[in-house]
Amino acid sequence: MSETGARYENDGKGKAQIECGTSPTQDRVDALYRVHRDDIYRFLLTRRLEPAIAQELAQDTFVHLFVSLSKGAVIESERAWLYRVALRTAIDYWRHEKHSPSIALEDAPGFITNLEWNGSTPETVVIEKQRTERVAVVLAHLPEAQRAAIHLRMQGMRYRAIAKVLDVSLSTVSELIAGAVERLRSAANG
Amino acid sequence: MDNHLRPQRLLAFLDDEVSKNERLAIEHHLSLCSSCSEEMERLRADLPKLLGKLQEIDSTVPPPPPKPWPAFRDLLKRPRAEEP
Repeated sequence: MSETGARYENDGKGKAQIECGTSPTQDRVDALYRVHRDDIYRFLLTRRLEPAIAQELAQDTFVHLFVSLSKGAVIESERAWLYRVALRTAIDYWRHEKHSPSIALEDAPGFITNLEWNGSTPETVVIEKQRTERVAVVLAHLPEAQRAAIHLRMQGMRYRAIAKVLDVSLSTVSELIAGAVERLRSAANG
Repeated sequence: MDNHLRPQRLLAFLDDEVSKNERLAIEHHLSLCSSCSEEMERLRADLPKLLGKLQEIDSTVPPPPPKPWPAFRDLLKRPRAEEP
């Protein structure tokens, strides 16, 4: 049993089960789980995962955080760490599946039709709907790195944190975000 | 004026992601270049609207999680794969 109250057991099949009592680490990760699980889930959807897989991997991400903290890892920014591990988990998933993600979001149930339209007149409602549709379609078709970068920027993450999550340089983050904004802006103004 | 500011520099400037020296250099350029200055103002106006639109899409378009989120303590009881 570690100092945090967690215990790791190997079942001999490459799987491990955690036994734990309540501990400060568990409480800490539990709090992070409640706050960030939906954001991590949506971030994983940007990696073109099916919702059920994205939810599963989001949950795994928090368990990984618990295990790392229980082993004494020092994590400067838990939020950035969660995104970074979620991204690696998604990459591992697609590597294991041995094909590239190619799900078109337009085919996903609820795409676009979930949106509610705001506008003072029928004309402005239509214009706004068309604008949002254009932006949503361009967003769905952005290159993966641009999509991930703009998603993290949208979450209020600083460029330096995004660079750590995506494991790229600051200048690359700048280029990715600018590239995404240019395309999305054209769609919004088109 | 030649050597206009590249889009990523304009955006990084608006996002407050440039160093103090770079900020001064960009401000100096903007004071001399009407083309870049106009583009900066367009971007300054467009960016909040675009981010608002993306937030709207992000909160409504993606399908919600298919199952209710389990309690974190229950996640720890499941067999799990090794860390990535």
